[in-house]
Amino acid sequence: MTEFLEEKYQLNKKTNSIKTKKKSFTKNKVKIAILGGSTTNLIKNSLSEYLKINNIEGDFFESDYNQFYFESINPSQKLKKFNPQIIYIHSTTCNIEEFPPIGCGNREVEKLIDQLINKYQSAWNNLTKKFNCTIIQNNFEYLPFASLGNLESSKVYGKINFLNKINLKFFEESNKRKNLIINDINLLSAKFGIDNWYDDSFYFNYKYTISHRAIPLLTHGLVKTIMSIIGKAKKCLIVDFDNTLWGGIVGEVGSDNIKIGNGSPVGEIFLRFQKYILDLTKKGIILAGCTKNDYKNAVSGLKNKSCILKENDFSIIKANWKNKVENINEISKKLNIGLDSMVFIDDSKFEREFVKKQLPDVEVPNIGEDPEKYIFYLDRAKYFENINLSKEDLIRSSYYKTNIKRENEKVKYSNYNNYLSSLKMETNLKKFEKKNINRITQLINKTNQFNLTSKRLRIEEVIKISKKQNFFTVSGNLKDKFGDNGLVTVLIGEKKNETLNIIIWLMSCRVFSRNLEFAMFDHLIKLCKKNKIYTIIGNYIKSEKNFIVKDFYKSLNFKKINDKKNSTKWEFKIKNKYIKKNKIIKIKNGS
Amino acid sequence: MEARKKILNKIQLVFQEVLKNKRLKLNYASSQETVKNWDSVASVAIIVGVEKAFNIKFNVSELANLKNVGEIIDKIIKKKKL
Repeated sequence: MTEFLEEKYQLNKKTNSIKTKKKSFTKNKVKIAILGGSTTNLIKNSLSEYLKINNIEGDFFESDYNQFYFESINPSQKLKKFNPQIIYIHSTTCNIEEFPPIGCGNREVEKLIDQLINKYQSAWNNLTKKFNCTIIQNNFEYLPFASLGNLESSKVYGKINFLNKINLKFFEESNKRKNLIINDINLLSAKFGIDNWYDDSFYFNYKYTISHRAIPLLTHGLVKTIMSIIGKAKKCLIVDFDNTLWGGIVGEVGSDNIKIGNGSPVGEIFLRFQKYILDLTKKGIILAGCTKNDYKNAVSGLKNKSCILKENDFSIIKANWKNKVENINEISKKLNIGLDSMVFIDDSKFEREFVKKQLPDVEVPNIGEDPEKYIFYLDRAKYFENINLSKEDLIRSSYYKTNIKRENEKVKYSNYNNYLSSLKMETNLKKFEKKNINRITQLINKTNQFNLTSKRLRIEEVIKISKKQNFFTVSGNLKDKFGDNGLVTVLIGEKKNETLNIIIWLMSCRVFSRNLEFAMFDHLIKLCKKNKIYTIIGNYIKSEKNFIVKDFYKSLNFKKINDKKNSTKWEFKIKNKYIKKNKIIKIKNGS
Repeated sequence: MEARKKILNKIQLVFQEVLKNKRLKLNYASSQETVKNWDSVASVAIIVGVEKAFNIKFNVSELANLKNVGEIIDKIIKKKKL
């Protein structure tokens, strides 16, 4: 099972001897409290190592042995002082105090389930109240022995039956609670093999409820979940065509003779892989093609009637004879997605090594030589781990596709403003609404380029701010004749007397240069006037990626009042007469 | 005797890494009482390291009865049939 883990995670490698790739973004820090129902020291060490590999510095708190419940209900001073951003509750089936007695009835089982769920509910409630943070909670793994045999599953008093019911309740709870993520160790232990998941020597001697051989698998998954929480999951998959999406070289054998689809073993393998990739696009991963071929030839492969992936599923296809590094750079520019958000897969070792070397920010998994294994390498790496799927995620690909249409339209207009007018844009700027909180939080944590302060907030913080009187919150969408881009811009300002301090102002890269920032500013001025605010303070805090907004406040006629190496402070005095900056986007019932 | 010495050297490397002490020297009588920082937390990491280094798995009672380095070596020899 661990053979498919990314090389750097593999057990038998000494992790401390692996050089971490030099990446361009700055180190992220994250404070994690591990509340264990068993010993957790090895888990902590492994987690710390793997976070480091991913350029994240973990700061850890570990509860005393089996104190997870007590720490949750009655947090120690140490935990309070630590003030975690993420809490990982590592409880396992060994922590279940009471299984249904053999032969008991439904009512008794329900009572036991309620007891257990109540216990965890109060832990989650209390932790949320005290720390307002994200909680990662293990569900329960199956047992390696079954005195009742198959009846463990079928009878109400069976242990597997009991565990299944509890796990289902846990999933329901996580759908109800915004800050609860279930770490599916039931699935993980099944993949690893439940017999090997347990290690009696380590359980009976040291109270580890998981074998040290399985720990890398557990922590690898946790790291990917944590990366998703802090907005570091990958967004875009770039695929080669020949021998990656189908067998054979389409330019040589012709589109009718490539190996794809039912009927041959190899064709079926590629079909399975294409289905998997199609599912990724459906959950919001942007798909790009990059192949050395004539465009027409390359696309002819996708026209083979057995191909499930169609030209339409790609946001962009680069098919030419230029080298792949050049093409990937161009894809990144065209889609406006950073290289560190991309994963590149190619069957050719040469291409992989070339891209790996030239573009260290791009993830390039070694997918091996057997097409049937590509899917495992891609899946097990969990690059695209989601903690949630918003409506935006489900239709994201279409935004990028319509963007390419807009690009084509642009060519028709000599004057950019005429082009913008032709788009018939509309925006709806309004206060944060409950139904948009997920998307707003996602934008706050993922937006890198048009982001004045790069301040990140957790969902609980966003909710809190949206309820406070002294904060202005604005979010907006952008619609045009090609479609709705969805919620793409966010602003948070803090009101103090007659001054508004802009804490967050950001915009998705999908809608750069469309004048939406001007519409937002007009809206802000209106809000300020209504609330008798006459000064606006804006800050620019330099990050690795936000240089495009370095002089943004200047362009809005702010005056620079402070100039430091990595930040500037700007001031805008609101006069009675203000001339609106946006004349192109229609404003709809803003509030 | 040669085998014991070889195993000792290999174990020593594990101890050095876990206890973060490159100059640590072990002998057959080394135990938790005589080796600095060899506490119960370190014990777990050491056993993980030894199991990986020799590709073996100690059973419950073997782990429960390891008093010193000499005993670890005896168990390895028995398991590997050296």
